[in-house]
This record gives sequence, C-alpha cells and structure tokens, in this order.
Amino acid sequence: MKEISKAEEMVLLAIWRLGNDAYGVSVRRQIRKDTGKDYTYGTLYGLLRQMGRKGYIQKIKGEPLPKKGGRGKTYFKLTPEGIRALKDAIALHKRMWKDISEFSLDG
Amino acid sequence: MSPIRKKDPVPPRFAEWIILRLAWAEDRFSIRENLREEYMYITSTRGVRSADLWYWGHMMRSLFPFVRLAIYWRIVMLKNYLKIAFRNFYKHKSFSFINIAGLAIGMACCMLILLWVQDELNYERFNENIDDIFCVVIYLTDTPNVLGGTVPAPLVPYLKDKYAEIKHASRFRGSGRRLFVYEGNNVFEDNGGFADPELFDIFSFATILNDPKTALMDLNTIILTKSMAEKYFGSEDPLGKTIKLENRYVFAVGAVIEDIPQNSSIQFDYLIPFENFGKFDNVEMDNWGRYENYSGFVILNDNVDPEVFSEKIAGAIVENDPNSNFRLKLHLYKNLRLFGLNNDGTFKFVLIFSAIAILMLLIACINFVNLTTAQAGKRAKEIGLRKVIGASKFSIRRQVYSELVAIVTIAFVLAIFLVYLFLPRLNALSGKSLTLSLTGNLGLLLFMLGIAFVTLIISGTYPAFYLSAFSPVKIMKSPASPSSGNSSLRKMLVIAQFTISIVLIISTIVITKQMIYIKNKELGFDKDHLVYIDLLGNLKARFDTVKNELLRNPNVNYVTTAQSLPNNVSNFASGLDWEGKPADVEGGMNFIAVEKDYFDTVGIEFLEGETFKTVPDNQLLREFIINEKAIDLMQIENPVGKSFKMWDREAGRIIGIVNNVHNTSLHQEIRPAFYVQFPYFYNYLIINMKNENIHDTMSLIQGVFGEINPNYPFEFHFLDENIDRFYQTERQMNGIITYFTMLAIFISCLGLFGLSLFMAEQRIKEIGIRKTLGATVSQIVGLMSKDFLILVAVSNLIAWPASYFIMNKWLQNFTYRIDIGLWIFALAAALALMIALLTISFQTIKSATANPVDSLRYE
Repeated sequence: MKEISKAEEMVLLAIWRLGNDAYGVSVRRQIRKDTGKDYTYGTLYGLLRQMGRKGYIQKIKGEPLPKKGGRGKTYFKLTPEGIRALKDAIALHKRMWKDISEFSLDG
Repeated sequence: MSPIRKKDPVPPRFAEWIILRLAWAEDRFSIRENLREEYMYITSTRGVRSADLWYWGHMMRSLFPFVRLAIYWRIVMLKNYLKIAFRNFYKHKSFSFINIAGLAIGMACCMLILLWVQDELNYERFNENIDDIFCVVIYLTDTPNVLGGTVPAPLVPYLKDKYAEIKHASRFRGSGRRLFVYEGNNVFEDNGGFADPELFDIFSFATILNDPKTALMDLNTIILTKSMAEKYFGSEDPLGKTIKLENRYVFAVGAVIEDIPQNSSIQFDYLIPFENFGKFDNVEMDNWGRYENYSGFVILNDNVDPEVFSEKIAGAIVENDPNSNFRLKLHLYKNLRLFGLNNDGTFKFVLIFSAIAILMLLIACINFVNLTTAQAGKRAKEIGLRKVIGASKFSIRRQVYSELVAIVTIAFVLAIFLVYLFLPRLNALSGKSLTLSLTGNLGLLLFMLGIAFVTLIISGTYPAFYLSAFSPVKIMKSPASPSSGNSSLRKMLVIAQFTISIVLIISTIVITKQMIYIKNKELGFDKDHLVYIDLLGNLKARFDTVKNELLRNPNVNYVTTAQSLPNNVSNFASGLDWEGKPADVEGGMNFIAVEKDYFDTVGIEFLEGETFKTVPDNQLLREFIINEKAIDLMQIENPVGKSFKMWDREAGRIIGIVNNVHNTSLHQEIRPAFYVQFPYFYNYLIINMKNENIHDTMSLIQGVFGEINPNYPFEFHFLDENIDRFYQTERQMNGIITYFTMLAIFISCLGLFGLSLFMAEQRIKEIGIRKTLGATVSQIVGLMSKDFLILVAVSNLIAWPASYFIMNKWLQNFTYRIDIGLWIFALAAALALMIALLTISFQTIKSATANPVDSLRYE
C-alpha cells in the first residue's frame, strides 16, 4: 500500500477535524491553526484534486446561496478509503518511532 | 453579523482574472468563492487596502502551483491529441500526404526565396564603414537626376588634395582581360582591378599576409586574393614572387588578402596600383576629358555634412575642364546594389520574389484549410464526443493547432531537406553561391521558424474556429449527415489559388516571349556570323598582316577592328562641334572608333556616302560617319560634307550616313552615334565568316593568331553570346519565375486533387445510384468536373486583368517590346483548364468507372 505524503496527511486531518464544515476557507484556516503552514489555494486545491482522484475524499455540493448567480460552497468529506489512509499513516508513524523518545535523539 | 451592505467589496479584478485563467475548470469557481470570502473577512477586520494587498500576494504565491498543474494537464492532453492526430494521418493517407507535401513545398520555396532576398539585402554590409562610404558620381547639367558612376582619372587625387574634409579617397577600375605569365604558363585573368592604397581604408577586405595598403604604394606591386595566390603558388610563400603581366610588366606580390566576399559589388582577384592603368592601356592619366570607367570612393571626416560637401565639390570637373557639362555629387554607396544609381537596382526583384514567396505559402495554406474543413464531417463525431465529456471550445482549438503543429513540423523538416536539394539549382539560376547554414545564421533560423509559425496561424485559425463551433447536440442527433463544411468559402479559396497560378502562368509566358523576342530581334547588324577576339599583344600593331592572312581563306568574308562591339556602343564624347550646331544643343554623343571595313563586316548599310578613304591617324580626324539618330540630335539638314570637330582636334568632315542599329540594350532607345577612324582606341578584332566549315576557319584564325602572338592563349567569342549577356538579369529572373510558377501550379493541383478525392467520397452513393439508373461514364465525369471547371473559369476572369496590369508594367522596362496578345490569355486559360481537368480526372474517372455494387451494397 502506498503511503500518503505529509501534506496530504495534513489536509486529510484538517478535513476530518472540521467534519461537516470542511470547505476551502475553513480547511486552509484549520491547517494554519494546526501546523502554522499558510497554503495557497493553488497548492491546497491541487492536493484536494489529487486526493479526490485517489478516492480519499469526496466533494459535496452545498445549498446555492440566496443571491444572483450564487453558487453553493463545495464541501469535502473523507471517504472510508481516506480514513483508512489516515489510520495507515498513524500506524506507520507509530512503527517508525517505536522505542524512540525525543531525548534519545540527542544522545 | 453586520447588515448586508449594498455592495460587497470586490477583490482586485485583474488578480482575480488571472486566477480564473490559471485554475482548472473543475474547481475554478470554488477557488474564486473561497478567495472572495477571505477577502471580505480581511476587508471587515483590516480594511480594503490590506485585503487588496493580501489578495495580490496570494495570487502571486499561487502562480507556481497553478502553472505547474496546468502544464502537466496540457501535456497529458497533448499526448492524446497527437495520438489521435497520427491515427488520423494514417487513416487518411492521401489527405495527409497532400497537406504535408503542399506545406513542405510552399515553405521550401519561401525559404529559398528568403535566402536569395537575404543575400541581396546583405550586399556590401560586410564593410564596417558602410554608412560613410560615398561614390563620386557625375551628371549632366541639364539632366541632374540621371547619374553616372564614371569620373576622370585625375579627379579623385585632386579632390583629396584640395579638400581637408575627405578622410580617405580611392579610385577603382576593373582591369578587364590581362595576360598573366608565370613560370612559362600563360593564363588570361578576367577579374582584376586598379586601385589606390586607400581602397583598404574604405572597404573592409580582410588581410592575410602583409598590409595591402602599404604594399599598394609601390607601383610594381600586385596584391592577390587567397585563391589567386593558391592558384599560382600553391602552398609556397607568395610574398615577393613575381608575375609578368601582358608579357611586359613585372609585378611582385606584395600582400595577400581574403577572397572578396560574394556580396561585394567591387570584385577582384588581384589588384595593381592605379597609375599602372595608363601604362597598360596607353591612356594619359592626367586627362580630365576622358571617362574610362574609373569610379571614385570617399569617406568624409566625422564632422562633415555630406550634403553640404556634395554641393561644394559640384564644380570640380569644370575647374579643370572648363567646357565640361558634367557636375559632381556624392552618392551613398550602401544601397548601390538595391537601388542602383538611377533606381535600376535589384530591389524590384526583391519585391517580386518576396511577393511570390508569400503567394506560394498562401496557396499551400489554402490547401490545408480546404482539406481540413472538407474533412470536418469525418471528425465531427469525435469533436462532439469530446465536447459532451466536457471539452471547451478552447481545448478543441488547441487540438486543431496541436495537430497542425505536428503536420507543420514534419513539413518543416521536409522543407529544409528540399532546400538543401534545390539550393544548387537556385544557385545555378541566380549566379549566386548561397548556402544554408542554420547554426551560422541565427536570423535565418528565426525567420524560418517564423515562416513555420505564420503557416501555422494562417492555416490553423479558420479550421480551429470552424471545428470548435460544432454543436454537439446537432452532431449526435443526426449522425448520418455529417456537415461537410462551408463550401462557398472553399470555392473562394480555390478561386484564389488558381487566380495566383494563372497570373504566374501568364507572367511566365510574357517574360519568355519577350526574352525570345530580344534574342531574335533584328538588331540591324549581322550578329550570327560574327566572331571577335580581344586585340591583344601584337595584334594591334600588325593588324594589316593579320587581315590579309585571314582574308586569304574563302570562308572569311570580312575582317575589321573596332573600339567596342556593335551591340554596346557606350563610349561617350562631349565637347563636339559641327557646322550649323544650334546654340542650345549639347555637343555630346556616343561614338565608336572603327576601321574602314567595319560596316561591311558587321553589316551596317550606308544611306548616303561610303566608308572611310583616308589613312587613319590618331591626330588628324578627317572623316566622320553618323547614324540616322544623330541627324535628329545634331539638327542639321544634308549633313554630308559639313564639318565636324571632336575635342581639340582639327575639324574634319561628315562623309556618310548609316542606318540605325541597336547599339545598346533593348531596354533603351537606339543612341545617336558617330563613327571615326581612331586606331588608338581599337580593342577588338571582328571577323565575319561563312557558316560552313566553322571548325576549319577557327583553326586558321588560331594559326594566324599563334604566329603573331605566340605567348598568348587563343580565345575567341561569338557575338550573339555577348549580346545574350546583356539580358542576363532578365534571363535569371525568367528561369526563377518559371520554376516557381510550376511549383505554384503543382501545389494548387495537389489541393484540387484532394478536393476531388473528397467530393468523390462524398458522392459515392449518388454516383452509384446514377449508374444503376443508366448514366454513362462520360456523363458522370462531366457532372463531377463541372463544378471545378467553373471555379477555374472564374479564376481566369480575375487573373486576366491582374496579369495584364502587372506584365504591362514590366514591359515598360523595354523600349522594344512585344504586345501582350489575346492568345497569351487564351493559352494560359487552356493550360489552367487542362491541368485542372487532368488533376481531377484521376478521381472522377475512377469513381465513374467503379462498380455501383461496391458503393451501394451496404445500403
């Protein structure tokens, strides 16, 4: 099975945390809050599109806005594959860091 | 929540537009909405200015990820487009072949012509001082606009001494044929020059050995070009080696320079100090009244205004030759090749050829447009499907262009191959030595890519817009009737193609006809039996012996000697005077010094009087003979017996009048001229011989020549060859245009062939049904040919007035010219119709004779 990248992991986690309120602005804000990284929409949507093609997330069209030409927001939601990818990531992380503490790196 | 404002603040338009352009279609609007939301939030917390700033910053930071993705997907699509394109090439082999071949030939012609044009435009440009070099030219006081390039020999040193404004000055004169003797070998060298040392300050000829300028200061020095030095001395060191010229004068090699670049108007293989010319040709070099084809070149000091200085020297000839009507002027050397002294340069050919190049390319592009739109029906379903699954107009256009890029690339490579193949042919036709070096000639490479790009735009744009405008619903709903494109536009384009071709056909016929006319025109003298030999070595001194020897042979009719050949009487004498000369007439006329038998030899008839009877003398000019034209110029009646005075010699008498013969090229009127016995000037031995036993006669002449001039190689020329040389430019033009005409017709026919192929495919069922109902083969061929023939007929109607206009203008260059007869148009029309008919007949006959069962069995 193929591992997801760190950036993908961050985006997936942000979407998971946001639950039903995950759309462009909120995901970007969440990532900044969690990691301090300021992604541009170019990068963010690039990642989202990539993971959409891999089947980790799905798009959900929101209600159209009550104004002329108002398009609904597009929300993102994790698919079961997305959740499994996150689980795999955390498992891999744990395996990698087994028996190592932050302090032992200094020795 | 703040209350809804009347107008939401809008992010910077331009930044938003960029983001919309860059983002992929799927998420384009989500991204915009998200950005707007954040923008609004920042506006409400930190104000509009910082929000704008943030927006711009964000846009900039997004550029890289956007562009990276956009490029990635374009490449993915491009792969698909190309795959489909190559499948299509393969499926429609004949159409692809026609497209590629047409474009390749069109581009190749364009490139060839471009090389030619580039060479013309690059003339003299190798000179570093090119913008500062001036020729000293003369004009007659009453015709200040007609310039001549020849000045008296003492003029240039006189100017240099008198005016401090002149920085460098040099004379130059082509040397004509000279005998070179080196280690017992006798060789004629035709291409040399006499010049002053400062020639090398003026022109940038590259030095190899020694400084040619200092070398030229020694009167007994010769300067050789590299290939000349190799010819005589091989790998030995040529410096100091001696060569004997004219069997008399010994010159030591003083310097070696690179070969003169081909795009220099001044050409020589060797150079001798100018003053030697007088010694070689028995000319007084201090004579202000003699114009012996010397040219003068100057470079002025930096702060001198050439126009002012030009006026200052206007009277310099009169200061030394008070009776002269010639005035001086400076003429920029730079554009001499293109515009000549009197607008007679090659620029008009540059224009004509460039026009032909563009037309050729246009014809090839029209083929592509026609075949692609005609084929559109076949591609309709593919395009419909692409649109249904989300392709935009832009992506369809991109697809058309990418297919065309593939075609143009293949055609481009083929075109370069064709250029390599045909360059030697063009060189032979044009007398140039052009080479195609893409790496050494960056401008050329760019220009060629430019040609490819222009081809792409011209041929791609209409099909791209046409195909991308297909409505998928229509295509999908009625799959049985694919649209075949806009046939009226196609018709117009075919008409345009054939109009161009027919104009070229007519032009070719007219030019060829005029050339034949010139070749066969009665010039008034007997050009077919005349042979001439340069009056070299002892020939002049022992002319009487030679004449008697030769006349003993029954095949030799007449022998004479003269200053110039009858077709080119270019020597001009001013300061003439005659009995009854009106005060307002300029005393200047062309003249030719001839021996008494000249008229019989050349075949000029006397209208009055007869040939010279006195013994020739260089000082006493007793007898003059004039031509009819001269009577008009002299404005006297009964000229025979009247006195006539040349220069400062004692006056003589006019003893005869001869008929007019064409004594200059047919571009110009016959010139008024007089004939005089003046042995000093004789240059040619002219022999009139019978047409039988030419070989024997020639060996006889050679024998006599060998006795008199044992050291000289024997060379003779036929006069008609010399006359042909007059019209060399026209002949070259004619050759080049003929070739390009044939190619233009060929490309047009390729297109016509493609269209007929397409028509036949389209109407295959109709033809099948007609045949089963009893139509004959000829009826069907007629039916299918009719449409095309109408197009060709219409093209004729447009092409006739156009070509009449153009050719009439061209013929104005000739004083003696053909009429453009109606038959020329008829011939061109018949040719065009026949070629068109032949082209489509391949297809029409094939489909007319096909078995209807094959075409109808699936119905």
